[in-house]
Amino acid sequence: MNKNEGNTGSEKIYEILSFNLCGRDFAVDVDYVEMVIEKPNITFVPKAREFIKGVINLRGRIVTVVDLTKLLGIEMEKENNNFKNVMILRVGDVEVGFLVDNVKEVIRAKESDIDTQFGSVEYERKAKGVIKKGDKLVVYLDVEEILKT
Amino acid sequence: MNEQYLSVFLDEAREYMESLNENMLKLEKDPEDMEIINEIFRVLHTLKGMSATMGFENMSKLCHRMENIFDDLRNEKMKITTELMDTLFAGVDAMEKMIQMMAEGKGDELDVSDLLNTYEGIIKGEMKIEEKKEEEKLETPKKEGEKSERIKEYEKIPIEIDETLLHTLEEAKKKDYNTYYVKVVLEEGTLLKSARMYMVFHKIEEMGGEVLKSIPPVEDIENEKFEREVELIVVCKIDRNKLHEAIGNISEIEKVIVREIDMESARGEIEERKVETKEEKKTVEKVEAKESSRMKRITQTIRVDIDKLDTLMNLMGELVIARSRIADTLRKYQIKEVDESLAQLSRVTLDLQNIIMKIRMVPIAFVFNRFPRMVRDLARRFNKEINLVITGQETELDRTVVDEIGEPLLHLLRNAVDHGIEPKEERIAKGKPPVGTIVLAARHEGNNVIIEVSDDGRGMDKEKILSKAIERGLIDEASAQNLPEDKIFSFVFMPGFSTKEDVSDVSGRGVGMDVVKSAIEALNGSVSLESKKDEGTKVTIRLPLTLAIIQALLVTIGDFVYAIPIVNIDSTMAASEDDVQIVENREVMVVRGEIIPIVRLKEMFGIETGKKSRNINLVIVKNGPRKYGFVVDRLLGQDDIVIKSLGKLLKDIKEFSGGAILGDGSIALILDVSNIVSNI
Repeated sequence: MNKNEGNTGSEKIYEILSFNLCGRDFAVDVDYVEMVIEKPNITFVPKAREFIKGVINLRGRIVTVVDLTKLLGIEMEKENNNFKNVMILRVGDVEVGFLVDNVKEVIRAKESDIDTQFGSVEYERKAKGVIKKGDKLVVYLDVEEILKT
Repeated sequence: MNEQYLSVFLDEAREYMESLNENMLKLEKDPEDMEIINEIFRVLHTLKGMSATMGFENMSKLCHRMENIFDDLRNEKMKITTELMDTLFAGVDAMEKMIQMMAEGKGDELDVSDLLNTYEGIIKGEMKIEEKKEEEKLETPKKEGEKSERIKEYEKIPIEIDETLLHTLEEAKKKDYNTYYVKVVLEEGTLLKSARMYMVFHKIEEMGGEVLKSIPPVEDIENEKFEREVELIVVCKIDRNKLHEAIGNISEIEKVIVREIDMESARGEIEERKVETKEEKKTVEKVEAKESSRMKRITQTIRVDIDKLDTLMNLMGELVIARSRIADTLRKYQIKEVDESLAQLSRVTLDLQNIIMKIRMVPIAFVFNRFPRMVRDLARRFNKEINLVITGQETELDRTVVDEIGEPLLHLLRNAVDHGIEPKEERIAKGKPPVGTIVLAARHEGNNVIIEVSDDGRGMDKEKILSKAIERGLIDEASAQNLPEDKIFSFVFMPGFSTKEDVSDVSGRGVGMDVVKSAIEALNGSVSLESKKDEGTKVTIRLPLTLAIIQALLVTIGDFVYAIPIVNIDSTMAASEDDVQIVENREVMVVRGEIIPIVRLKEMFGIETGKKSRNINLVIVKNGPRKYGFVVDRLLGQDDIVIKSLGKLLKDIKEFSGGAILGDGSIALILDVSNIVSNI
């Protein structure tokens, strides 16, 4: 799918990949996503910040795995350790893995589809906004902002 | 300007700068050596041309002026003095600066007018002092013209005239004989070539002439071992035209060339050759050194981006891991054929790994090369006479290590020049040779590279160090009494520890040795110091061959494997909880008479302790002079591990210096011992 293809008029089209995390829908820019892998063994890193789940061996590289629920402050009824997948993202020279349940679909959203009011309240600057998809709300995450934390 | 050309130019220019520095230092030691002056002249000349081509006029001008000076030196119109060398070195420095500026895209607009004026002054100044020479100079254009003509003519005489031959020619000349170079070309398809040539020889003799030399030699001519051309040196009384005519009259001869031999230029050529051979004899020993430097140049011209090598290393790592996974999977099925191919694969991957490691290796000469110059300048500044001896510069180690080791070595050498070597008078008073010696030596020792910086200077005062250590509360007076020597000297590496009272701008501000130590430890190396009062100081640096692979002890703590670098480990031991004592609220243990603090890594890392065993495994680690006992669950054994970065997100964690991927694909975090114990 060509990224530039969808430019209709002056409005920019965003291609974002949505995924499921603890029953909620989130999404990131599809350009950042390198691959989605089955969750491998994660090596615990003592003394690391709480949202860092550990490190994995990704084809010989050591990649940090982030638990988004801790990072975004999502309340969970019980500790969920059963994420099935790791979504590998690359932003510049930083490679990072996000623990996710399911990767769903690529959403094409127009600028006007993104409600920038809501996200900024609940997730501070870590979300760019919220997109309404059918009867569900998808939180559009700002990956660069997340990696700054 | 084409970027590509610029980078090639810069690379080459840097190499030339290195050669300039090197040769000028040699020249200072051996000012009479024409070979060196010529070499420098050639380098400057090439640099001048290169920079002019690239449009770096300033650089070109500077080269030109320096070239002029070396031209005068070459023609012995000038003598080498230390002052002259200083200004010439300043020129080299300016060039280096320019090259740096070019690399940064700033061109060569460095103001060197002072230098240029100085150089001009030097050239003019010399001429005034030796007025005779100036007269000669006035004559030179004419002479030079003549000379070049002569050379041209001489060049047309390709026969090499040796001294005996020249002597004979000169004698002949005195007796009014003419001396000629004769070239005879036979017609194509001449059948009896030797018979024809015999006729030529005969003709010459008939006319009272004599053939002194022929190319090819007479024997070959008799056996027809030549093509169509024969060259001769002939003496005879008849003139050139007659000789030409006489030989030309012989049939089947296509062409005859007769030319007079110019004695003077022949003599000159011989002299030149003599000088060369003399030089050759003189430099027999140097040849080896030269060859090695030539080899060095070859290694330098193979340039590979280090990033590419890193990628190659990573791929290699993946290959090794993939192989062991396949091996694990297939082991279940016990297929003999597969086992054999797997063994083969293992061998190949191991070889491949070794080669990749070797590609990353560069000779330590890369860093050592700049030190002779630095030591020379420092020695001049402190008015000391110092001989820097460098050995083992061909010792190879990882490129990354080579890049990092320069600064620490610089510190050590500065210390040696500033504090180590005494002024000349003091040395004489002590009965030492007036010229101090600093030795910079590198060598391999097992999986390590040892670099030693030693001087024969005043050495360090043990008592002074001890009293300073007591004063600073690093040790109490009682235990200071029987402290072993190496412990005493290890205080020198403590931050802010300096026994030097006066502060110079070169060294001795209390920073330095601790910087050296931390820089070397960052490379997984270690440093130690020995010193004897009035005999000298020796600092020994021990570095791993490569940064990428280290030897480590693998241990388990909780569910995970951790790696402790072997360089940090003193010993391992099994102990019991009963041996742990509490002193001042800290857990300690007495090991071989030493009180060692106990570090419970499990608690520190916040790992669930589970059930406590009475038996504990201790890894005794050392950090400088101090030892600590790390409590671990199990010792798994020693292994070579490839260090990988943990990435930006984990940068804030000081306890681990990186991670390593183990044979089964799992990750072991590498403990950063000095950071872990710094909080204790």
